[in-house]
Amino acid sequence: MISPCSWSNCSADASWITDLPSPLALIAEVTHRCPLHCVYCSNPVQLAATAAELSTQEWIGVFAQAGRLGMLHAHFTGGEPLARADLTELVAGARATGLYTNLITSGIGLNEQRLQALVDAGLDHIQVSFQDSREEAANWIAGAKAHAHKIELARAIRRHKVAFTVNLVVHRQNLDHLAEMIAFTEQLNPDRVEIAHAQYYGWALANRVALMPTREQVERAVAIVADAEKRLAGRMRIDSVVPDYYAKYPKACMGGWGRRLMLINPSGKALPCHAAEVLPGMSFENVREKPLESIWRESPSFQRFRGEEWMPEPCRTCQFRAEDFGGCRCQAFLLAGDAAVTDPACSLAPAHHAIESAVQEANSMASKAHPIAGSSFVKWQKENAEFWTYRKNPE
Amino acid sequence: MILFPEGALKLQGTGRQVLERCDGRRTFGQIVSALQEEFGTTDPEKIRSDITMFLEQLQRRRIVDY
Repeated sequence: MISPCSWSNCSADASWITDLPSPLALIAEVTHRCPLHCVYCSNPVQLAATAAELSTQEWIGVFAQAGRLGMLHAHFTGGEPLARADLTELVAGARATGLYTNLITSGIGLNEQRLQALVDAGLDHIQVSFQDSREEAANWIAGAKAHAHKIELARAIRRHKVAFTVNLVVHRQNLDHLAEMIAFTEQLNPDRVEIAHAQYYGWALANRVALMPTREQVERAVAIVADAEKRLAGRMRIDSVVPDYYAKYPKACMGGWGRRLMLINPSGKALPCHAAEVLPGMSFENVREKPLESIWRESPSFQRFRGEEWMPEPCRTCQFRAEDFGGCRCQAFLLAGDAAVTDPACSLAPAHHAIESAVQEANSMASKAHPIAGSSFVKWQKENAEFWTYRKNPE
Repeated sequence: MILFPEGALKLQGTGRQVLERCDGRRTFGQIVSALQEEFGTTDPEKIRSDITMFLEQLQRRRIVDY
């Protein structure tokens, strides 16, 4: 609640919207193609094929339905959304139905001219990820020579009227110089920075040993972030989250299953979250066959873990069940083998040992590598094959 | 309704009246005096400090700059 209303007669001037019967945002994974090969990518290991991608008109139809359904935001993500030649048209289509448009990008494929076209089409916000502050390390993590271009692009973005967020994905290999990464980000002058610990889904789960930080790294990072928040207040907003493997309670994944967000994958499948396709025995409906509203309200997949009915103990009687919704269904399946149990990240979960052993492993090993200078993806892939697996591209 | 990265604010009453006047041209002082005039029965200092607090909260979230 945030309000100046003590001098007039109203009790609720401005409230953060939390509970709407309609979803708040549409996550549009417009393609799984990507010029980067980040080892922490949370895309499914089984990527959607290029040939199956929704057409321009199909996407525009989806945005129109989202607008009518009362959604507020459209997040363009992927893969790399810029790999779609029609991205400007898609942004204009989303904007036309009243959606706030957010482009989540690596920046590869964007030049001054295309940026201008996107801003003219009504793009509201652009979020660029940086893999590190150090060029050699950043390119090594991405498996692509992208860092220098991103810096150039960040400068170009500030010349346009569009909100700008820098996203720093942090993990074992770069957390030791987080303070330097924040200082680097300040030079790019964004409105906002997200400090996101890698989450272990998709490619990141396959690379967990190389990515998972030690407890000491996490504790130092928390202190560095708190310090930066104080120093940068009013200039650069910092959003950061403690990694769930080191938390006491699980994250409120997607704000609750089928409660706030709807993800459409490149081939039109409607998913309650990024990783839901890994869940066995579930089928997801496609926007090519059903209207968005009926998928949201009636599909068995969106209803499966909505609300509290599905909850096992200890969630069912837990005082936090309306805050974290039992955590992440995909993590429950990936680590405990059953999507319908409490997220093992919860310290009260019967399967918490799966997290404890991963934490123990991460704190007993010296799994840190030196960045390998490379020149091509093939070379990086070959020289790091023992250490981690780079994200590949769809067929 | 104000939309911004990763969030939304529903505005009514005085919060809305303050933000509607944030048009990139009016100064902080002009906005305060306009509202002091409109809410003539309330202590003007109280109005100034409430608006200050409101806008500071929004600035910390990088929703307004001034």
